[in-house]
Amino acid sequence: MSHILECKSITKKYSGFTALSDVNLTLERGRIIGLLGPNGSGKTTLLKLINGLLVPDSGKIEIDGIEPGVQTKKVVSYLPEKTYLAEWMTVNQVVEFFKDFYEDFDVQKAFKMLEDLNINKNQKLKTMSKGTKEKVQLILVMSREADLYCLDEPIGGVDPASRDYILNTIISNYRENSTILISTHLIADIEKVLDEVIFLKESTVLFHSSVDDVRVNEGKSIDALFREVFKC
Amino acid sequence: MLGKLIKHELKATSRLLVPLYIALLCISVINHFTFNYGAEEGVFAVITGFLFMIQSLFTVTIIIITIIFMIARFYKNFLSNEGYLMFTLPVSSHKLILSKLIVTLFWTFISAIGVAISWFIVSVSANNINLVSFTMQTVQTLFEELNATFGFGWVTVFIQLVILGILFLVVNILLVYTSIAIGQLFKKYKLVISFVFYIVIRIIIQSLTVSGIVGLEYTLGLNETIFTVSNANIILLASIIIGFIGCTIFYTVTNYIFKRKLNLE
Repeated sequence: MSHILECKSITKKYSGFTALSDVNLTLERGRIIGLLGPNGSGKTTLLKLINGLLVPDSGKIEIDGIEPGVQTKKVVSYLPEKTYLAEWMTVNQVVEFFKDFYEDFDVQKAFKMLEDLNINKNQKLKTMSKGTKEKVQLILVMSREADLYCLDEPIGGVDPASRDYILNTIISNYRENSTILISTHLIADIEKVLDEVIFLKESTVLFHSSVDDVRVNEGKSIDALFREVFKC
Repeated sequence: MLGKLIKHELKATSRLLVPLYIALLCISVINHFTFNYGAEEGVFAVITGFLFMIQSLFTVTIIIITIIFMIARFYKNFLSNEGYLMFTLPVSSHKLILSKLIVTLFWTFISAIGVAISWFIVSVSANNINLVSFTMQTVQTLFEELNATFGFGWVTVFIQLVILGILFLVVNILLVYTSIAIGQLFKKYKLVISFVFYIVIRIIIQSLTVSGIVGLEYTLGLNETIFTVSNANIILLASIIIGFIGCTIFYTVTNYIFKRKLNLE
């Protein structure tokens, strides 16, 4: 089976500051992968590059063999760290919007999850708390049957009870063919669902390995390893 | 996909603009009665005068609001947080830009029609100002003038004028888009830079136009202005070509920035 994502020596600079430097990565299908690193290590930049919101200065990104563009956006479901839904819209309207633009969007699934989290379909986004908005966005993103999910801090603003529900949603959405790439600081919360981890440090990939290998070789949890590697 | 983008853009914009146009029409209906049946002296005259002022203010405001709202919408939908959604939709940047351009043109026409209808309502069968017959007369005179001046060629001239008018509108909208797109390349003062860029380009266009005309008149060794009736066709055609080139340049720059240099915060 082909790789879902391939990054070949990607470099991205913003006005003098190097956000990513010579990054090489290959992700297989059917994995849940944690993208971990301290603030400013390049996590968000990498996710933006995969989603075509940025163009690399050098190097090449391929999603299922295709460079980011209209075709790849059909199969990549992206949750940015921003609340990107228009405030005047109701939940129903944003569901309609997603249904119109994404062929792989499952309306039933979205409404089921909204119901589970007690979110009113007729409520306007501007009357919602930040946490609720984040839940709505995550539900929309996870209701697509994408090949690659890129989740940037998906549980940051969400209460612990909902976190469990969301993580369960992520796991239960797991399909053999799709890969989920999650960037987060909340490693302890998310560790149990991860198959692989990527550690980003100062714009480069420090290491990329399976979670089991880390536990066997290092004899510690990902959270403990993270604290050790990035000790200030 | 362009159709879907336009549909959603119309939904997003109509929620503000439609109530505004309805308000304009309501005021016009009220004014219609006060102007036609109101007293011409005393308190009523003051009220009538006041309502007439509101009517005029509203006319100007509605056009300004339409323009500002469409520019703000372009900025907010593409370059604020909402940009994260819009630019990860499976549609090309061409379609994103075109959808905004088409809907802006649409509302510009609607606002113009709305204003025309509102004055029609106010003035129809009015005692003092009969705007309707006045307008009809003006249009008739215009066509007669055109006919007299250009003979059989006036249809071509008229069509060229319409095309030129639309192009003028499009090139101005695209210049605003380009300015906004260029502003977002910078880390700070994005909107200030956009505004400065817009002014600078405006000045450059003006100077180029003036020096172009003067230069052409000089090269051709003309003693008089180049704008003569016999030159009308060629001047209109040249203006259309120049306008088209302007549109192409601004469109290409905006699209290039959106495709390769996007810099969402």
